[in-house]
Amino acid sequence: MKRIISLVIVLAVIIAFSTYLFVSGQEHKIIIENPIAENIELPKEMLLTFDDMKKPIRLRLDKKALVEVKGTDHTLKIAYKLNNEDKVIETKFETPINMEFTMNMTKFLLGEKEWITSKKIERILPAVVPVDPKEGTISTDAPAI
Amino acid sequence: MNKFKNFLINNIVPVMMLIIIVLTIPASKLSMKYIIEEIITRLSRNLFIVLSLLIPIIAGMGLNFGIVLGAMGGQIALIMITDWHITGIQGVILAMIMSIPIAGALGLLGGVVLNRAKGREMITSMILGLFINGVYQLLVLYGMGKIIPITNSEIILSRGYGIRNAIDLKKIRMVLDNAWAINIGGKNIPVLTFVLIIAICIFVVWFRKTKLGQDMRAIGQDMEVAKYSGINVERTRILSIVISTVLAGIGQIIYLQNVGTVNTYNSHEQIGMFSIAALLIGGATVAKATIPNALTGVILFHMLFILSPKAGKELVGSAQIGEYFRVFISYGIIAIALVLHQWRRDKEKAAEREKMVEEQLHMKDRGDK
Repeated sequence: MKRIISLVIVLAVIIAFSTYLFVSGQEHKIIIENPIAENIELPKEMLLTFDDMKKPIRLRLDKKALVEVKGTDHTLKIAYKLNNEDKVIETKFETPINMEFTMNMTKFLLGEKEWITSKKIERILPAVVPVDPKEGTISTDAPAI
Repeated sequence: MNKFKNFLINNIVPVMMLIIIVLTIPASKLSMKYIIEEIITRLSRNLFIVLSLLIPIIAGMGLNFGIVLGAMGGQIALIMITDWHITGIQGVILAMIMSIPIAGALGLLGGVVLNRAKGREMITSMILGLFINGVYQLLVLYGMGKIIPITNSEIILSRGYGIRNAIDLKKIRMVLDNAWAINIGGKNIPVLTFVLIIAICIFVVWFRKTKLGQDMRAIGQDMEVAKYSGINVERTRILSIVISTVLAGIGQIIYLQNVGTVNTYNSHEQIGMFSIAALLIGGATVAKATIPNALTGVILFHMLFILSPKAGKELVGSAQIGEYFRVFISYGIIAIALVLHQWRRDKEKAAEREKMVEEQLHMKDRGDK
């Protein structure tokens, strides 16, 4: 009995540690968008620093960027210049496991809640290989759900 | 003179290698600094997996060609963490944890099979490696993406299932080596990797002194005597293979995180032969291997890797010739070591027979008197 209990404890510790490694080690893709908004003046360029990133990302107006962050809890530092005034904003956000994210910086500056949206990482299914009887062509595009 | 002769006979392989290396160093025109740096890298990369071979030798099961099974377990774990986007040191540690049950199960299978092939463990483990390689290829080529869901489009084939030929481990490349490294003379020494290597050395030394280790030694010396003294021979032999296979899985992860790429269908294939060649070159035999053998072997074997292509280029203008030379030497050494082992065994048996005959004659003489 004592042996079974120690085995269960060891297994539980290993599973807990593995879960911690999974959560803290998973990398998430974030697409950052910076679209133009009508009738609102926006900074022409901003510097984005995620967590302890050494070199900030320079993002211009109406451009996109891709960044990969590790773990679940993050800080984002946004530095920009608007009306000759330097501004720095720091915000916190979370990235749950198995998710990809899209950030809309314009929405963030406008104070909208949905500035960050997420979607589940899609599972790739085996390709359907339909053969067109007339053309005899084969499509190898793998559909995703 | 006899002592020197015995030393030469016992260490003929490393002595031969040393002579070849000493002759090759000036021909290669490589600086000592470069050679030492390369050796440090290769020691950190390969020593762990070579050390994983020691335990089955203690148990008298010879050289475990079945470490490729563990290597496959390590690679499956690396494929999974790459698919799940687990990066950095967390990825490497998680891969090591995940490789343990996979390699353990494969080791168990190996142990059971080897118990049914007592006395022919080496060739059986080699063929078992080839068989499981087929199963591994089936799993990776058809199972992943079809049965096991894969989400990372970077590692899956464009048809939607099967893993690509090469997986880039850029997100975990050298993270273990760089996690704790000290810079000496412009060269990063991977302290954490060496700590792991020292840990496995301590484990091997400690393990030999445990009850299980003593049982393995007894089985290695004489299986029948061990059986009659109450040791569960079958179980102990299985355990030795399981431990070796699990350590090999971790060793393969250490190796691949240093290299930074997994050749999905090839990386594991050569590892058994390379590790065994290194151990034999270090002076080990089928029946006896020690930690210094592994250390010496990795240094000497990899010296050839570093020197021979350069020496070939400098001497005959072709690095490929040097590479052929290295392949010829390394596999030739395995053959010599195996032949020497058999020769020694025959010699020991002949000496034993002579001794028995003498004893019988002596007893007969005494009886006549």
